[in-house]
Amino acid sequence: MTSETGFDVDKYDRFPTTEPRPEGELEQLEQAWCGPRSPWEWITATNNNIIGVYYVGAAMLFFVLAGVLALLMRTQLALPMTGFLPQETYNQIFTMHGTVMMFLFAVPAVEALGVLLLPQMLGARDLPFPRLGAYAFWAYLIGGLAFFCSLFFGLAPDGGWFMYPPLTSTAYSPGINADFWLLGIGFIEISAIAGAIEIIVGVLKTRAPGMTLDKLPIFAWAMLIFACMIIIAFPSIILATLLLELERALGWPFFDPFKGGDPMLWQHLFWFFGHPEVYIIFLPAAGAMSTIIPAMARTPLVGHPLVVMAMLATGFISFGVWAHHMFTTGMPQISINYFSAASMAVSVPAGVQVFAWIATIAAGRMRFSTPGLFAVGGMVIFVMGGLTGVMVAMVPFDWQAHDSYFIVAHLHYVLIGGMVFPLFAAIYYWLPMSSARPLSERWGRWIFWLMFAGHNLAFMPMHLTGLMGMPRRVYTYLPGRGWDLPNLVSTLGAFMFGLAVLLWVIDMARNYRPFGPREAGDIHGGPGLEWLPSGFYSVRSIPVVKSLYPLWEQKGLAEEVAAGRYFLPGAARGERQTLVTSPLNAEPQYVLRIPRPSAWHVFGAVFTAGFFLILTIQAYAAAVVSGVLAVYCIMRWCWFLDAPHARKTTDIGASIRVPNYVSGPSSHGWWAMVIVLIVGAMVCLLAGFSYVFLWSRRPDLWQAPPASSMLLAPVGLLVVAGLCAVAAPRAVRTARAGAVSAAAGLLVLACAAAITASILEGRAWWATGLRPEASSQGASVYALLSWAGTFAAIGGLMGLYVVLRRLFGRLASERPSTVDLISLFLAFTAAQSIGVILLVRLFPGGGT
Amino acid sequence: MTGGLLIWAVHFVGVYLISSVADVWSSSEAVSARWTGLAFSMGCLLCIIALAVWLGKGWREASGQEAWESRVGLTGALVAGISVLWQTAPLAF
Repeated sequence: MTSETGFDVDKYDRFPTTEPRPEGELEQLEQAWCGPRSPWEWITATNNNIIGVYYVGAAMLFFVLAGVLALLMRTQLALPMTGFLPQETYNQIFTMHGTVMMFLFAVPAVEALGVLLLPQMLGARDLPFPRLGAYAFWAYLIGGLAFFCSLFFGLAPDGGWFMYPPLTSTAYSPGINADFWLLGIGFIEISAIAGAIEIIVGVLKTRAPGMTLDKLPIFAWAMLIFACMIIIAFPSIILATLLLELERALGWPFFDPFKGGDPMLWQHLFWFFGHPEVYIIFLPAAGAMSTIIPAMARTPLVGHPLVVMAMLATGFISFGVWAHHMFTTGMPQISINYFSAASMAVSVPAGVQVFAWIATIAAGRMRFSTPGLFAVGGMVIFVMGGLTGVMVAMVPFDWQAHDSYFIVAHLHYVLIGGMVFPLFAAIYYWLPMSSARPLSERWGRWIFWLMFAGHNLAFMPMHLTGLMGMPRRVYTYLPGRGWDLPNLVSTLGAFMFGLAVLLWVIDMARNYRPFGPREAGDIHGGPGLEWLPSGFYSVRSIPVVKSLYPLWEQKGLAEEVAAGRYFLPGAARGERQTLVTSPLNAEPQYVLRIPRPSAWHVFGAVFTAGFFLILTIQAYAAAVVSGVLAVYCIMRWCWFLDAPHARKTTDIGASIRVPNYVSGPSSHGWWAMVIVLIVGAMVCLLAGFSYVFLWSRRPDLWQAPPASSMLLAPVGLLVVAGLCAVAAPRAVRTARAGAVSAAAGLLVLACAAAITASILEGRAWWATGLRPEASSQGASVYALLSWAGTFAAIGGLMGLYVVLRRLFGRLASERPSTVDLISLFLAFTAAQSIGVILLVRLFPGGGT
Repeated sequence: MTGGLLIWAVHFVGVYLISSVADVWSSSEAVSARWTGLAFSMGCLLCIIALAVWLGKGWREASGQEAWESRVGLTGALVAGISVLWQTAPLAF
């Protein structure tokens, strides 16, 4: 195997080390990674073992809350013409049920599982950005609770979980209910993206040495693909919510056909996010299944490379199926056919995974304890949902079943079988890893069978009511249509499911004991690193991984790891550290100093949530104050990053020394910045698609752009900004005196040029008489320019940050990361702005 | 490793764009649009075949992680080929 970084992999043979470990080493490690000691420290904690538990707990809280809403709906629908819920309340409840389940439970729950499990699974001490993970959690919790509470004030959204305009335009939804959805969900998605960045960099850069891609745990593969899909898909919903909020608040007509807008644009943007979302939820759950089934069957996963390929293929093909939710909207027939074909093709990789699970069960000796039951039960339900999925992928059938209860049945089979059952399997399987006691096996079996029977009783009859013509989202129905009995049965099934969840909550209260001095441990005989003896520091020493199933195939590994015989067995200088490795071969690169807990990320999350929530109630001044405070807190949080190190290298074990600091593409910060920029680029790309789409709807309404002569100044300034940004990292690395000041000066110049270019371009369009509220052209041009301008403004804040760091002596030639990352951002800003300006100036040309 | 799937993505965006542009200018059912789509699809299929041959060679010669990556890439190319073929079918009818 060729080395990726020049590291000599023969050095792995030095492990496990044999010499005695220094006295007090373990105590120093425990001291460095000690848990919270006061109530405040439980809030400011950043360790994944704590934040992960909070995160899973919060997601399950939202699952229970959304489940209660489902029971209210089923009570209303149990009999025809019931008056249990008023129509308006029913609309709010079904909207909140779908929204909370999809946005506040499903995605956060799997992300939470990743935060909790990945460091241990990868042999890392923690994820690389623990404060970002904690920020994402607090933002999600505060935003989610405030969003849910809107229900108690009659302010909850009521336009369905996909919020189609024109129903959600101000004409038909004049209150602030829809604004809660738009701002709340947009904000929560930002938190999901923050978590995804953490997961991608964590999986690619903090794996145990030797954990090459073929030895990467299947759950980590799933989480990596899941996080990449979030980065590509979620910008679409962020853009969609932004555009609809701009239309509602400022009258920019993106979706108003009278001014050249088109409600179909919302459907394209929403479903470009919405359908991959199903696979975003499914893939981590499938990763959990592919981990749990081999462990419970006591045999390796059959077709491991095929399962990895199937997950990759699902990740790709799921982006080609968004319009299968739009077969009845009058799209061109040939386009519908492409989406229909992709919808059927996506079942191929899903089938590969299911057959691999069946083959694994057949090849091993499956133990049907609670995790095994949930895994197999989930597989059965998911396959049933997948089969109805192939049915609705066929256009003629979809025309009949669209917006009927058949679809409700299909989506619940897919989501409950593909995510909820695997999640419960995961909870039962991995809970002994973080609790002193496992959950009750006896209760677990009862819970499984109640849930399995309840699910089928609730949703199987919905196929029939749907085929008999019962539409979705109706708050009641007339008697005598043959819908009465299946609805009553569905309600009974829903309550049976609810009883199962209630029993699970009680069992959690009885048995779940986290954060204790010891855990129940590997009671299922799992083969992954997560079952190594651990504490808040994760593993005592980071092992060399030589197998996909290290605990099954590397004999004595657990004892050697616990004895400190591998990498980083201590906490040098009392610092929290983890090992950063290369993305493909996992070769050691450098030691990452992990920041200690502080309150700034918590305050940052509170004020960021405050900004969005206050904006909803249109108290703009207060929102601005909250926004400014959020920016201040985030800058304070960043202030202590990129600090000097006492020594240049660290002995990570067996006399192997690696640097304590690297910059550029090897550093974890560079990777995170690139991912952030991909998110920005996706929003911009989709805004460009919206611009072209709206032009194609009403080209007759579009006017000519400003004169070409006015193009030179903004583009020229942006070229200057880009060149300054590219030159700054080179400048800071020169050994001359004043190198740091020169780099800071170049960055400030780049910021100034980018901001000036944005202002000039905006003024040029304004001078043509085009106004954002006048037409879809105005709305989309100013939206694109605003997006590019926002990046320039953030660049301005970064320029201020650089100046402050220079003044306080926090920039140095030997620590160029700050300059590198800001340069990268500014170079992207310049390139993005040039792209935006050229698009709006040159397409469609001189107007029609 | 993801080469085949990337070609699938390019194919999907390509045929969708061709039909959308055709829909704006004349009709997505236009014969010229169908032939353009077919030619583009054939090009993508050829790329997938070339990739599969190259990966197959690599698989035979490599060992360990590199062989594993070739294997995942090869099966990914197979799924991408099936998907491209399947999505080209509507153009033929």
